[in-house]
Parts: sequence; structure tokens; C-alpha cells
Amino acid sequence: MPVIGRIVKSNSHTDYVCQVFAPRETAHDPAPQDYAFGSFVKAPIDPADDRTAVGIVYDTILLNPEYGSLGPRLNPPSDQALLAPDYLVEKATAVGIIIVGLQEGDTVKHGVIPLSLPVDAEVSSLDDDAIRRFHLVGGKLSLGYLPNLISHQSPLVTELGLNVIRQLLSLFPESSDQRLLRTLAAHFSWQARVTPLG
Amino acid sequence: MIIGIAKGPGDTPNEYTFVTPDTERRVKTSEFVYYEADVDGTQRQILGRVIRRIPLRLYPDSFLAHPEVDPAQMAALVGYANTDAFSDETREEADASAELFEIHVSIMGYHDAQLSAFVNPRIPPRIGWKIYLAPDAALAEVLNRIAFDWNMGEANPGGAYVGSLLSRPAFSPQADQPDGVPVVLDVRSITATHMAIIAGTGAGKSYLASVLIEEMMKPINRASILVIDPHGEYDTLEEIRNGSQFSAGRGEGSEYKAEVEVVPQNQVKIRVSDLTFYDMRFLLGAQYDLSPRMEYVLRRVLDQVERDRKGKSPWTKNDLFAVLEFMQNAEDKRESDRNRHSRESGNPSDSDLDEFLGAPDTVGPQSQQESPERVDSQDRGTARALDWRLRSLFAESANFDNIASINLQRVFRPGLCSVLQLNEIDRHQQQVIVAVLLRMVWKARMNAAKGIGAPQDRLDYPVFILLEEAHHFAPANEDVVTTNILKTILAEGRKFGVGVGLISQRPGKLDSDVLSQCMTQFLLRIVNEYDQSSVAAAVESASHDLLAELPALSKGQAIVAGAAVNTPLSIRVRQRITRHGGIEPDAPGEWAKYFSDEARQRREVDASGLPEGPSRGRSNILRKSRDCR
Repeated sequence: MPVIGRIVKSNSHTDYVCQVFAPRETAHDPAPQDYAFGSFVKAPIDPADDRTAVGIVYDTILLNPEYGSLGPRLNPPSDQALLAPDYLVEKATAVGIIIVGLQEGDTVKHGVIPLSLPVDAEVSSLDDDAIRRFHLVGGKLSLGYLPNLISHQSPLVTELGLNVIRQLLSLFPESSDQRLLRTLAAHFSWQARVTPLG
Repeated sequence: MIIGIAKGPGDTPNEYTFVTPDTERRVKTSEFVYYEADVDGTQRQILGRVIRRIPLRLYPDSFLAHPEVDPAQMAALVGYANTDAFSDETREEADASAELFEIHVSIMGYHDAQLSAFVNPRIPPRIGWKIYLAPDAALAEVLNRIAFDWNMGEANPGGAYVGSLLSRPAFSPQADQPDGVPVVLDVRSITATHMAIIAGTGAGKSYLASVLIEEMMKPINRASILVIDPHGEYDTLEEIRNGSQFSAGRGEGSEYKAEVEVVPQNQVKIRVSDLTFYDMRFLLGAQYDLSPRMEYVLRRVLDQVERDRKGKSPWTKNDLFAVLEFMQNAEDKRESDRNRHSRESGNPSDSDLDEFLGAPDTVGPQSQQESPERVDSQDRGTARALDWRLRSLFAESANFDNIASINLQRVFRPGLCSVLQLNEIDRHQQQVIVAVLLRMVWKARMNAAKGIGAPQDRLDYPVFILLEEAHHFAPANEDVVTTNILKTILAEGRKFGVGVGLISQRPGKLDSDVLSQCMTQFLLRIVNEYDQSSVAAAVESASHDLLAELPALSKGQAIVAGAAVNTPLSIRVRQRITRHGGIEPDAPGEWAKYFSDEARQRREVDASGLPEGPSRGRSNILRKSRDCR
């Protein structure tokens, strides 16, 4: 499970900003698909135990201090790496993460978690198996975090819901789960595609 | 049993709302609930009727989009239910707990035993007050005017147990610990202030009427009932004779055995002398054209026969025809006299003819401009035409007799239910028969009240008359011979002990004055909107929300409102003791019989012209041989 970045800021108890590691900042550079829109991620609440917050990437922000600095520079861009090395780190990619649940060993809790993430907590992406386990509550498919997710103040929230359900459709092939997910997908699809036009 | 918590006021000052999960689904429309309040220092149970039930938690439409997907599963999927809800076994429980209802209640008040009525204390429940479901026994006590004897399993004397409350389980008096609330009507109110059973076709009018008759014929009531039965549906009431419920031994008060007398239509006789001019005009006018002049001559002829027969035996058809014949011949005679006199120059001396014909110039308003000869000629023709019409009328109907008449003493007697079958009788003749009968009853009861008249002209006990197809006897926007006497009885019958029960499937076609005079109403399923609005206009005591249930009532369910109950009730009519007679014919079954072997053989025999079928003949031979042995 690749590490994609660290928590640098929070907007609320459930809404965090994660700065994606720059190239060569870690042993394995995170690939863009690791922190794509709708990706499931996790971050340890306390390194001392196994409680992990699970979240979904809901937004991407590109940070570029150079943007707007249109004045002439003495050094050509090729020399800047040598003469002003710390300038490079100011260009960054940040992603917005909404926390949707808590995983503690085999126990899963969906919804708002009571604990918050510490600054600099490492965020890593979830593989398919981990996503599947996170969505099994009492052995049954559950999206108990969905009401909190869609109440989030983001214009992309219905699209996010649709994206999550699409992922789960491929992870839960059982017909009973497929029926439930497709019914939910139809709802979000209508909300995302048709309702805005009406 | 606490059923919910008061939420606040309702739509009107007389309503309140409460919230309940109603997991056992007991708070149905028309159910009775109460809260407790202090009224003038006394803790009272303020009863109310549930009028509306609004679900507070509804699934999004999209949860209902897939027929194979349970919306409760969808709710569980998005984390609504607890983890138990994921197992199929407990899903129903989890689903039920998800529901929440806002219940609107119309406040009736507390029951004041002294007033025998509900008193509204005008104290709505405060938010958070507990709302209770009224227990069966307590409810039976306050809803019924006449108490139900739980030990005996029937109403107390003067009551009619017609069924049980619809919102509660079906009541069975035979059960060891019966559930439900028996509904007992006050027979005294029904017979004193009349009743109406209104329902669409096939909703169970005659069934309910028969249940009521059964109750009235039990030893607790011993009623004197006449059923006017235009369709021959009530003959199964004869089974009352053999029912143990309809008799009482010496140990149970005075000895009693209910009797039932079914009078078939060929035995329904009306003496012609009991017919009034209006009856005859109605009968003739309904079948033939009757000119104003014919009406005039008819009245003169009737006046003449009544004058002739005054103090003697009642006049007969022959008397009527004799006068008409005399009139025709007299006209000839007068005309020939006139001709002779005019030839001989003198004035006609026809004073004896004018005695019943009247002077020619007083025959009618038009006659003053006409010559006497012309009027005389018309009279003769009119008498002939009337003679022909009357003969045709009397020839067609065997119900109008010279001597025989309905014997009131035979038809009305406490403990006797008479069924007057009028099927196969022309509707206009039915109307005249009923009009004559009602007049006779009315007069006999007035005689009894005033203590005058011969014993055979008096009815010494109150009577109750059940009139099927009442819209034929008191139609809206039309006057028939029965309308006036019915209105008289409905308005004043209380004083003289003549009660009327009207049964109709078309309240819209029933005279609104007549319907509004029936102070107890039984309303069964009515789908027609016009009929519904007619009922709403006529039935004062039933609220609109109760009347809104009319099209949704099932067979055997009814709304009872008015004088016989303390408050309008939705009831489930009890099972009849006697068999039901108003069963629809089974046409497909009858058609199938046509193709049976027996029917086919019979047709072949009929076609061959033999007097008897071979099988029957063979069986006869076998029988004869057995007899010989």
C-alpha cells in the first residue's frame, strides 16, 4: 500500500488536507492514480496502536507559489535547483480527504469518528482487499458513511458518491449486493447527471 | 396501554396529534384512544377517535425503484439500522422500528353516565402527555347505549348486538375470553326515530337488515316487524322459528317463541275500497294515458260508489263498473231524451242523470264555452275509456280484491316478523300496496293511541316496518303515492309508535327530507360520488372523515351513526344466525348444467315426444317391482 503524503491541515473534524509527497521525498513516489478522486486512503490515529482512520479523496489542490510571480529573475530556471533548493518543495499537490470511518483490527465503524488525525500523519492508499473489508459490517455490505459523505459541502459530492459505488460494484460481485449498489448508483447517477439540468 | 406521546394541537381546536412508532399496528383509523386530564377536580379519561395517520419517516423514492430490493435493506445499506437489521430474521423487526407516525385525533370527550353522552372538556393534551389505547371492555361500556351482557354473550334487553368495532379484532361471544368490542344499538331509538340502511349493490344491505331483525326478534326485544320485500330476499328469516336463540322458557321471564310469517305476493291483497282517488289515478296514470277529464270522471264515479255504499259493506269493482256502465247508458238515454225533447220542443228533463254527472255546464272549466251536447258526448266516451282502463288494470293484477285485505292483526303482533313479498308485482302497484298498508297502519296506531275504533281497526303495540328499495317509495324530485304517508310517519311516527327502516342502494334518488328524518343511519360501501354527497348532506352526526371511508368499506363493514349509538362507529357486521337469502345467482354454474348428461338426455326425450325419460321410466319400474315384493 503506497504512502501518498502526510496530513498538513484540517478544515474540520472530518475534512483534512494531505500534501502529496514530492518526487524523491519517499522511497516510492506516489503515482497519480494512488491519490485520484474517490480513492480510499487511511491514516494512523496513533502510531502506538492499530486504530486507523479511513477516508476518501474528494478534492485535489495544486500549490504553486511561482504562479503570479511574473517579475524577471536573475537566475535561469535551470540554475534554480542549485541556487535556491528549498524553492522546489513549495510546489506541491495537496488532496482533500474526508474521513468516513475507523478500522481497529477487524472492527469497522462507519461515520464520524471521535478521534482526530495528528498533523504529519502518513496517509496511504487502500488496496482492493482492504476496501472490501472496510465495507463489510457484520459480514454484510455496508456504506454507513454515505449520509455523512453526501452532506459534505462540495460541488463534487454526488459525483464522489457515484465514484465510490462504481468501485464497490467491481469489488462485490454477489447478485444481492449488486442489486443494492445498482439501485444506489441509479439514485446518484440521476442526482449527478439529470437533477442539475432540471 | 400507552400507545404514544402527545405532540400538539391538530388542524382544528377539536383535534390533537400524537406520535407513535405503533410497532404492533394497533392505531388504525377510527380507533379510540384517550388521555387523562383533571376536569373540575376529577380525573377523567378524554376519549378521542383517530381520524388520520401520517407516516413521518418515508423512504426516498429511489429506494423503491427496484421491485426486488427491499427499501429496508437500502436503509440498512446506508447505515440506518443497527447491525441486527442485516440478518434476514430480524429485518422485519428493524423495519418496524424505523416507522413513526403522527396520529390526528378528534376529541370526543369523557363519557358522562348521567347525561349518557360525551362531554368535551375543551382541555387538549399538553405536549408529552401519554396517550392510551382504550381497553375493549371500557370502550364497549361508553360507546353503547345499551350494555352488552358478557356472561350471556348478547345485548341486554332493548339492545341489538349487530357486530363489533372494525378497528378491533372480530368479536366472538362464544370465545372464552373474547377480544374486540361488541356494538349494541338502542332498539328503542331505532324504532322511535327511524333508521336507514344505505349501501351500494352487493355491499350487504339485506344482510345487515336481517341481522337487525334477528336481534329484534330475540327474547330480549320481541318486536313486531313487517318487512316489505320487493325482491323476495327475506324468506330465509323463516329459520328464526326453529332457532333456539329466538325462544325463551318460563325460567327466563315470560315464555316466548318468535314467529315468522312470509306472505307470498299472490296472497298480498288490497281491498279496492281502500284505494283512494289518488291511488287509482296513480295506478291508471302509470300504465295508461289518463286525461284530466278521465280523472274528473273517475273522482265522480268514486264519490258516487262511496255515497251509495256508505254504512253498508265496502264497495267492489262491480260497483265501480256498474256506475260507469250506467253512466254510459245514461248518456245514451239522456242524449236520446234530448233529441226527443228537442223534436217535441220541450227542455230535457235529466235531473236524475245530473245527480252524479253534474250539470253539463259544471263539468269542467272548458265546458262553459262548449255546448251541452258536446260535453255529454265526451262524458260518454270518457266513461267508456275509463271503464276499459279499469277493467284492464284489475284484470292484470290479482292483488286488488273486492273483499280480501291485509289483516293487520295477522301481520302485526309482538314476537312476529311478517315478510310481505312483493316480487313479480309491478312497481306502481307495489307503491300503491305499500301506500294503502302504511295508511292502514298509521290509522290503526292512531286509533289505539286515542282509544277509538273497533279492535280489528287498532294496533295496540308499536310496530316497525322495514322498507326495501326505499327510493321507489319516496323518490327524490317526484311525488308518488307513498311519499306523503311516509313523510307523515317519519315526522310523527314517534308519537304513535310506528317506526320505519328505509333500505336503499341509491340515496341520491331518495327524497332528502325522508332520508334526513331517519335518525339512525347504517352506511355501507358507497362508490357513487352523487350518492356519497347525498348521504353526507343527510347524515348530520357522522363526520366527513368517517364518510370519506365509504368507498373503502369492504363487504360486511358499515358505519353506524345517529340516535342508536353514542358516537358514530365503524363496525364489522356479525354473522347471521339464519341463512342469507340475497345471494347472486350463479349464471356460469347454471350454464354449465346445460351440458350435463342429465340435461342432455332430458332434451333428447323432450325432442322425441315421450312422456318420460328412459332412466326415470326404468326407475319407476324398479320401484314398482320393489313395492310388489
